[in-house]
Amino acid sequence: MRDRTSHALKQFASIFLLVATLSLSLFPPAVVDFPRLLLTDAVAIPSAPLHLITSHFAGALDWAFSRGPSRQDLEREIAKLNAIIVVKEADLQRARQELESYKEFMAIPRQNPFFVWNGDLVAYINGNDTDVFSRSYIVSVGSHDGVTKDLPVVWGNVALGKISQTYILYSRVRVLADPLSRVCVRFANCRYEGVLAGSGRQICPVRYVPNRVMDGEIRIGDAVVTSGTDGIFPPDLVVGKVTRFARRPAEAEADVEVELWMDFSRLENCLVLRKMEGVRGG
Amino acid sequence: MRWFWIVLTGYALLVLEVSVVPVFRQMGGGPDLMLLFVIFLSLYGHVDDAPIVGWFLGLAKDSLSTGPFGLYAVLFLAAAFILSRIRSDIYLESGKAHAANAGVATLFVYLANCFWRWSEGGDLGAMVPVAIGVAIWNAAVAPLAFGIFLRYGRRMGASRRLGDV
Repeated sequence: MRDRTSHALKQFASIFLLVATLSLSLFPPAVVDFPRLLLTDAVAIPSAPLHLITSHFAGALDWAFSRGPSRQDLEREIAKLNAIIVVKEADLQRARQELESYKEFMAIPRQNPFFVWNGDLVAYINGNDTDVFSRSYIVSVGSHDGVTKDLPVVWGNVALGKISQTYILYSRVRVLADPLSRVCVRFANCRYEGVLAGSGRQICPVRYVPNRVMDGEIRIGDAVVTSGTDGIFPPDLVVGKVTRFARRPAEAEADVEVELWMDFSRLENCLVLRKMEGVRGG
Repeated sequence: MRWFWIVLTGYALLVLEVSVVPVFRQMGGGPDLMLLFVIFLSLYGHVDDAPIVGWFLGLAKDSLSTGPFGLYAVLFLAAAFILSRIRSDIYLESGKAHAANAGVATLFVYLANCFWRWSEGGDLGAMVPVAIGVAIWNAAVAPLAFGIFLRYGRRMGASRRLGDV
């Protein structure tokens, strides 16, 4: 009798949990965030040293199995790079002259006037996303350190992502490669804008690039930077380089793909940029 | 007392999933330790415990992910429910059977995940190979993982012979 009651109760519990999960959209956000708040801090503390050990181990394996180049290989490579440098210097000179003339015409500000950065935070990667289809990281700064949602996260002058959730001691960074990530970007040469949509991989599409872009304005290898127009990232942070560009006659948008500069699997630390509240430059 | 050991094991696996398992993602997805534990409990544990444990472990996995909240909870609950009901037909005490059960169950869970994300605008062509990779990893790791879990099986209410539970 007791076994049958227990069996019935557990069956009921399973059905109840299923129905509760399917109706999660009706729950207030605080209820949904509670398990995240509880678990992230609890799991990040023991996982931090393990993550450090495994990332160092993976780096050591890479080093041990890579074959170093011979002297002749290096000399050939140096000669090739010197030749490329000469060509690129000429291109750079031409591009600088073009940029100066555009600046005079459009009076492009050197800095975005709406952002004033105050006190960047160095953060260490303590853990990864448990879902194989998502790309996010747990970092070692949280609301205790003054971190809030939607702060940009960078590595040097490379855009990594933004803070998607904050907890007491830790935060979660949604990187550019995450399928739900959207970043306003600009092609460094032609200055056309678009929206980089994360795809879960290193190569991501850029949407809303107009089909009227002329041949040669966007080329394979062109740099892509943040535009700053989304109000989250400062402008001109490196995002990646163009790997594919094709105009589609029947569509309004061109087909553009960008390879992200940062290899997120090698990430060990990052910088969280904090904005000063209520300051707008002129 | 068995719930204490189940929670402790789940917590340890969660820590490993966050810190160690992502290294293997470069090699085709990596194993899903939480799902392996749920499959183990479905085959060896109390028949009514597995769906509830599956729900909690799935929710824990959702909580440490930026993916849709509750998706893994539902998928793990459904997988545990089905496996625990048909286990008398699929259970065999051999490494190959464990690998097959783990591989097929993982494939179904992850394909369901892929189709849900595809309905939300995801790229199915990029996700399906990853799902297959995870299923292969789980099939490969299952015999070892089940052997480790069985060492502490009694404490979690799990047993080799189905007649015991």
